Amino acid sequence: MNKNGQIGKIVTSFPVMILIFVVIILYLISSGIARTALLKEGIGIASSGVEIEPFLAKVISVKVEEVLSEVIVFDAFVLYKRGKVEREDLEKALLDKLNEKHSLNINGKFIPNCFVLVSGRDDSFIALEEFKDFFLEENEGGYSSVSKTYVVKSAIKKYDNYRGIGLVQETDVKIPEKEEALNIRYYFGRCL
Amino acid sequence: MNKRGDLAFTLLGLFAIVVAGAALFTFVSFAKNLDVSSYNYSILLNQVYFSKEYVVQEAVLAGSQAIKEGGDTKGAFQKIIEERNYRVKQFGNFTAKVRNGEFEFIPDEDKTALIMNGISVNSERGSSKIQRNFDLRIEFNDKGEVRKIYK
Repeated sequence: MNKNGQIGKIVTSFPVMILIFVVIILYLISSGIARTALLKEGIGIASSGVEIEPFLAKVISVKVEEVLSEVIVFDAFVLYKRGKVEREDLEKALLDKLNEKHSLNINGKFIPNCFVLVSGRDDSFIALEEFKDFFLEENEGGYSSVSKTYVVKSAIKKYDNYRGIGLVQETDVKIPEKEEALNIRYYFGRCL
Repeated sequence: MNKRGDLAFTLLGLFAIVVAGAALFTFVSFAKNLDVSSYNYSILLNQVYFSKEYVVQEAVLAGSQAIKEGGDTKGAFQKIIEERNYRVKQFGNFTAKVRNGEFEFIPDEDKTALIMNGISVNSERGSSKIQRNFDLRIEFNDKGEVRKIYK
């Protein structure tokens, strides 16, 4: 290519480069606007579960072998599995804990209308009475008059929806010496 | 334009199509994997966060009870933790540290501080693993009630 050809090539490449820059800037602006709009609508909150205080690490008052004791929720499940805590006592203790404020504490701010879902691998779900429609489907489960909770005996579609978007907290631990495996899955937060 | 120019121009076009196809394939396959790995990562984070909070609550309950009992606070703390020990792997080295006496109860005027450094908790899911290390300082009053927690 001669000199004139080279100069011509350089000159013609400028509009192409300018066009590319304009397209990139338009893309950045439009994606920024879209992101801001989505965040305002509350979409993309799947990671909020990490910020919530783990319910399983809370302390409840529950009868352990007929003695009222302060126990961590996780320990209460282990003791229940070992037959040292009665199911009705555990349900009542969990409900009392939830009813302390009957709301969810996020960074000191109480937000009403929360619910909790607790499960073991072989055990049942425990749900608050006011959310019975949410949990009871196809005549599954029954009502516990002692704790005023509904107990549902199988996995539920809506629970899977929460799980699907990463809002369900899950702990799956093995207790080696006792050859026990304890799986507890729960959602503790606002109804979506 | 000569024949060589034609060839280069054609190759450039083919190259652009291949790159665009590869980029599209990456976007599609990456988005699919992200859902699964994001969920697993979320579970890992939740578990390690729960383990840390559990260890702190365990120390609070046992420390409070040991102070209420009076006498040998350190010995009482070790005994309580040993009784409650479920040997759960993800709760890390907390119980071992207590058993080895790697902690102190330091009285200071109207309060007693429980200090334990280098606690580690972990979480495993498949081949992924997260470990979190932290130091713990819990201040109790004379009645064994918690005044402040530094973690």
